[in-house]
Amino acid sequence: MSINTQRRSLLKGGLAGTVLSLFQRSKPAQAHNIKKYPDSYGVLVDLNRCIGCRSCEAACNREQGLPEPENPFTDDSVFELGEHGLNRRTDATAYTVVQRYTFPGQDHPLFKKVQCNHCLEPACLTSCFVNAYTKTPEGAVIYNPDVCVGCRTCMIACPFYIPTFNYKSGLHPRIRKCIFCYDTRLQYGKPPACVEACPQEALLFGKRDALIKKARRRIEKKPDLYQDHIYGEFEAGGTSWLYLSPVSFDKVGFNSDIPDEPVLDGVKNFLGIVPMVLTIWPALFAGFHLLATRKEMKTNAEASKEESR
Amino acid sequence: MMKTPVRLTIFCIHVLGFTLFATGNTFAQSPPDEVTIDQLSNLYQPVVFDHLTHTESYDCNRCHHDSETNTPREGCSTCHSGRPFGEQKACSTCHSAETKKQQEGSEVQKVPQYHIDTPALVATYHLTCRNCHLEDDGPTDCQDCHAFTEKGREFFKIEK
Repeated sequence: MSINTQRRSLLKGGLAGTVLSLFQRSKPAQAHNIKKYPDSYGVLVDLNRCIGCRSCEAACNREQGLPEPENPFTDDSVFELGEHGLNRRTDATAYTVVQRYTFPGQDHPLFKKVQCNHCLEPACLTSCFVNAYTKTPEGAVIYNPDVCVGCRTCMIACPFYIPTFNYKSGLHPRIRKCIFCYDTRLQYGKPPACVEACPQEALLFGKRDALIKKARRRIEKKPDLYQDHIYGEFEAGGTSWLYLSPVSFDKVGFNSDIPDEPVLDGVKNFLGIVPMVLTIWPALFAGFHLLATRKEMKTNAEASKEESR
Repeated sequence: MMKTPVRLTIFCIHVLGFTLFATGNTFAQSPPDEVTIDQLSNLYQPVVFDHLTHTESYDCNRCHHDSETNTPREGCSTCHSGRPFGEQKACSTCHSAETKKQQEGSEVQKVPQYHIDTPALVATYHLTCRNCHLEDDGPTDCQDCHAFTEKGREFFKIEK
């Protein structure tokens, strides 16, 4: 009985300490500090230029060795809204999709390419307790399937609903998302396959800082054609992929409520100790348990020795 | 079999052109009737562009913003008063056929504070032609101007 009470009070103390440390650490977190790679690459997506030809989707499919699509990439019927008027999304077989937005009274629809925006401080990375995600200095957010346990927290954490899960192989969990063609292209300074395939330069590859300058220039030159806003410059702490649009961003499926701080900024410190808790606590408490029961074990062993004599 | 008459026509055009040039006629620099745009053909077949029809309906500087036959485009004349608008240059001089080269810094981007966003050749063609076609109800679907090559059909996963 005495051992049990000790263990209980120990657990209580441990928990109280953790909670206390959380409150103390959350203060410096208010001044968020994003590790920025000044020479990182990005892509500028101009909705004024996209014509919905889906060349980017075809290029992505080939580059990433994705499964054959049901219909050819020239099929326009994919743009039709699905159930509940929802637009198409990325999934385990398509890392990028083009969405169509029609407006009453306007002759031409707008098209928007969707893929991972490669945040400067990715929520998927922060939320992952096995550190399966990496933000590379080139700008890509890449993923290591070898350590992934398939918890899918990243799918909930992402403010853009990008990581998708390959449900077909539950025993070998794998998150599928755009990796900026890091393995085959970006690490050598080459543009991703989708950008290379774009006939309109609706996708423009370059250093993120230079792209922001170009985007500003486009807005300046044609203020009637562009919203005075670069989506992704500050959203969620900034993203490597940036967007320009002729209509306000919430009309073309962008979440305009995303704060300028990284979305998991407030709980970053807590999430940081989750791996520690998971790896250290079992060993720590097993140690405590062994220490606490050492006497008992010794006496047991002595007793059995004496018995054997 | 078909080649001989074509060659003959080309020869005639050349002779005619030379004669006109030699006589000092302004038609010496007359624009081509047809232009085959094939620098970029890979997934799509070359575009045979009917230049003549377009010149009948539009001013040169609608597409050629360096054209000396018209006043320079708004915004350019601040710096370019007479040059290099006077020079006739191919599109690819400033709009490189190699997108990567264009973005790393083509000749036109030597004045970095102004020409920071000059599209490469493939985008220049598409933005110029297609945007105009949108305005004036010209053809706008990809295959209206250039049909797929075998490579293109494979790329877009079109079954044979």
